[in-house]
Amino acid sequence: MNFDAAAPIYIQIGGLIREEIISGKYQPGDRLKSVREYALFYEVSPLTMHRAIQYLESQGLIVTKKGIGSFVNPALQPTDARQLLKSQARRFTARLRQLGLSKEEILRLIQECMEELDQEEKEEGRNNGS
Amino acid sequence: MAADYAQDLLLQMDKVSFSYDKRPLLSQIDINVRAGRIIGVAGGNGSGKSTLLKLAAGFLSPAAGTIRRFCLDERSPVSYCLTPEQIPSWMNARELLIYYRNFFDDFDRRQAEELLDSLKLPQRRSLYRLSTGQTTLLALSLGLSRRAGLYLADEPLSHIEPALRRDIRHFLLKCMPEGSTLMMATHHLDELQYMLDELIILHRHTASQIETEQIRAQYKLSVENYFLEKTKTTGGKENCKEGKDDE
Repeated sequence: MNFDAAAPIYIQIGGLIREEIISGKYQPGDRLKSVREYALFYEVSPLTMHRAIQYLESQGLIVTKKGIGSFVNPALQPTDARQLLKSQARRFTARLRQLGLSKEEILRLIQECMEELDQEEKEEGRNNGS
Repeated sequence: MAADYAQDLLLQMDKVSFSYDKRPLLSQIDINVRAGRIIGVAGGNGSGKSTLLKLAAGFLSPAAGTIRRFCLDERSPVSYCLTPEQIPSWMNARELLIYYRNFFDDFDRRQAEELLDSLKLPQRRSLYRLSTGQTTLLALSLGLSRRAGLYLADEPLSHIEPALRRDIRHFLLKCMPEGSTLMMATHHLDELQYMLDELIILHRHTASQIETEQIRAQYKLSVENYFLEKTKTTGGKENCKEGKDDE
């Protein structure tokens, strides 16, 4: 697993699972893997994994039923997922503004990134195809 | 849940000192080992890693200070996993398993047999004819098949070729009973960094203990860089002196 070695792991894993929820891979009410299964999957200690689960609980993304397991919060609305995406985009935009970028420069930067990603995907597709 | 155990103390070292032939190796060490954790013990060659594990296991007695062990549920306090050098190499894997069964009341024979089968090693071949990696896995299988609160392993990755180290990590995570703690001496902080909950650093006869998430959150360092930072020696002279302090 490619973690940032100098940042807390439970937050990084929490972020990965949160992305799976936001992207719709898990639906509200879906059961998540057990702490043990996740620990093996990410090759981290069960305690770290437990912290990641608690972190997601504190954000209201998942609920844990003792002795049964963790589930994506059934009360989570599709708009909540959008809200999370928006808050991430907001933080990102705020940081760029802090760095002194104008609205046009920020939009151009995002445009450039989109094009680069498109290009990479195209190349990957070609590599897989051959 | 592992976290239900997380406050239970398994081992406590209080101002523990130890010397070989009046040459001090560990001095006034304080360590608390709690349940449900994976703990790495790091330090230069001859810093006392193996000695610390043997003190924890009760194979050695401290010259000063106290060591207390606590039971988790019905489990034994400690299971020390043999190293390939410690294993009676004239036995074969079957014989060693029987030996464990006869010797330890807490031995879970069924689990041991399952683990051994999963290793796919020749069980009737003398152990000296197996690879060090195979004997390491065998020793870990048997050690972890005892029902204990605290498992001790001395350099479980050291004789393993890099490609197989991932298997050992996976194996350890898979075999560890819930709530138990694994404390292992290691040189491979880079490969174990995400698996460790805590790090104990032995340096200049003393020990420091810290949570790895604290290293990352507070110091913004990788576990290995933190270790290097903490054990940095100034000038080459000291290095030479430390190098001679062999265990």
